[in-house]
Amino acid sequence: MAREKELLEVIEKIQNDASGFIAASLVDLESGMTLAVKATRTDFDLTAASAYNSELVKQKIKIMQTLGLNGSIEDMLITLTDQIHLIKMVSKVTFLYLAVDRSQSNLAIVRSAVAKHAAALS
Amino acid sequence: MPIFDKERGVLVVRVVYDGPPMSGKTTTLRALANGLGVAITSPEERDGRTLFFDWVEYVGGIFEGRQIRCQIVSVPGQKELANRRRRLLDAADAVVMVADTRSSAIDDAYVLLGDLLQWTRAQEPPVGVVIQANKRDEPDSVPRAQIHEDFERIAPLAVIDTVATTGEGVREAFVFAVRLALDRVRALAAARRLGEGSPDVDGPAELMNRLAPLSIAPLAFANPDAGEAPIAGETTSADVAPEYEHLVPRPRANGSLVAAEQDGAAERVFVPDPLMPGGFIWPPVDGRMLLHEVAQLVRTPVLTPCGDWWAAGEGWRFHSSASSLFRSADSGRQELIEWARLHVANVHRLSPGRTVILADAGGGRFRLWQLVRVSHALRDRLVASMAEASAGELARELKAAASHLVRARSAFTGSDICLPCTLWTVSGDLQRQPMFVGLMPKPGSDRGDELDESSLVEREFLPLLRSLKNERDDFQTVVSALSSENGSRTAETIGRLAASGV
Repeated sequence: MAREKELLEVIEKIQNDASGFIAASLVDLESGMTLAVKATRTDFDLTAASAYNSELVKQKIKIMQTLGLNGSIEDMLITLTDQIHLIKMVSKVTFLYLAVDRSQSNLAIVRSAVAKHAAALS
Repeated sequence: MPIFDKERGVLVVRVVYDGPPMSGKTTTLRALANGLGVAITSPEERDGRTLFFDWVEYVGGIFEGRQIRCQIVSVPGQKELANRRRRLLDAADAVVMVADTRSSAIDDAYVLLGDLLQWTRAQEPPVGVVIQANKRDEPDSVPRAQIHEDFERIAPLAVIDTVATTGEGVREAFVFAVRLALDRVRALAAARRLGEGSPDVDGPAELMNRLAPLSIAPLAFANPDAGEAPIAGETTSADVAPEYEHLVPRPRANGSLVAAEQDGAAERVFVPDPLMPGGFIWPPVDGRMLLHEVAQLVRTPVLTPCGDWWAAGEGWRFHSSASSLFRSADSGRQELIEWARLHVANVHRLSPGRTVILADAGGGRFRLWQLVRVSHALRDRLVASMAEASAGELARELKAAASHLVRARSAFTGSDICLPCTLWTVSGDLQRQPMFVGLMPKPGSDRGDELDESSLVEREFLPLLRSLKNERDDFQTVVSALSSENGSRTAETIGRLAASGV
């Protein structure tokens, strides 16, 4: 796994490419702990959001198992009225969580920015 | 031990940072705290070395819908503080072993890892360990492949490269440790042994209160094969792990070892000599016989940071306080005589197998030592009962032990010297009059505030009851048994404590 400094550099590249960037973190799926964080707003509790998102991913995995689906999650996109949240699996045990301001960005920009740099996070 | 703190709705786990002295444990915690945006507390340091612990608290992550509250603690690395290290590791749910990977220091890490793993694997469930290979930026650090291969030979553990001074890799190691802690939580939950309630230590101040009374002593982990439960302040028959032997100073051929400088001249370390002159040993005849016995042991006292000298093991404790060095034999003998009088006056209160020695310390100086044969303490008895007895038997044992402690308080109060009354210093034979089994305080020691019976029972039994609650599934049955019978006031106190105090 890349070192924290390298992880932060990658997140900063995503920040540069994703207009309306609010926050991003690399999260350990099992514990919900963050491995690297960056936020532009102090009112965005990235630590808590990352932890609860890990629960979200785990629940989704359980649903897939219940349905007998053999595939794996690539990403999860959640569109809020004012924000877009993307959860991108970068390995079996870690995911990138990205939040952007919807008024300054769109789904394509978000996906493109993450796809360009996500490989460096694993 | 992990616990669900119901009041706050969080899971509390403890991650302990272990490692040889100066490997970077404190630096790691500082970097981690900085990265996590939280504070670090270090109660006491001396010359940049941790004397008690460093404490960081972080709430993050999630486990089954509950946030995780991590108590992150680093241990003191010095051998003399091993007692504190052991107490801190006792509560670990995962351990990060910080290794100094410079070629001059890496062997210490291998030694410590072997010792640590003996203990972590003996826990039920086992405590996970991740290795933090630190100081990777140093020019003389051992090549990465070599380190990983060497550690792999000891045990198949995760190894994470770090540079604690810059924080590199520190967070990754921490998150890995949290994962290991959660593995343990799951195992406990599956076995229905995951506790609920308040953590027994809720912050650095409480932890400091727990550690401060511990004596300073060299202590490796108990040999799991020795069949003895470890005792705080005392080592088992496997006193020094074989891996630590090369760290223990040995006397030179002439019987002296220059180990410390006092008043500008090096002091000769005490080596028990049954042929030493009469008038320097108390009791005169029995003391010399005890010296014969003690001289067979391979025990070399060490100088502790507070200036006391200490050795323990193979059924004996040796102790000399920092102020027990005398510039002449005459002044030393005066103190020896005064101490001997105190022993005689209290002989019916003291455990057998005690001798006081005035030993040649070199340079015309003399040092006063007490040598005490280890006796079974009340705590040893209770620890054994906690592990083996049924709920009813344990309840009876707790009541009897509390009454014994209160009788000890009365017995010790009549003395003209302060004999501390604790579960560690009171004898464990409930059929006999309670005796003092600890180290004899020096003449003129401050008596301190004496607690009333209820306060004494509460002070001594509350931590034990908390441990019991975490370790016994049938704790409520024990509580019911404690509360069910009408008994003495002491029995009522302990019943009340168990029902409401933990």
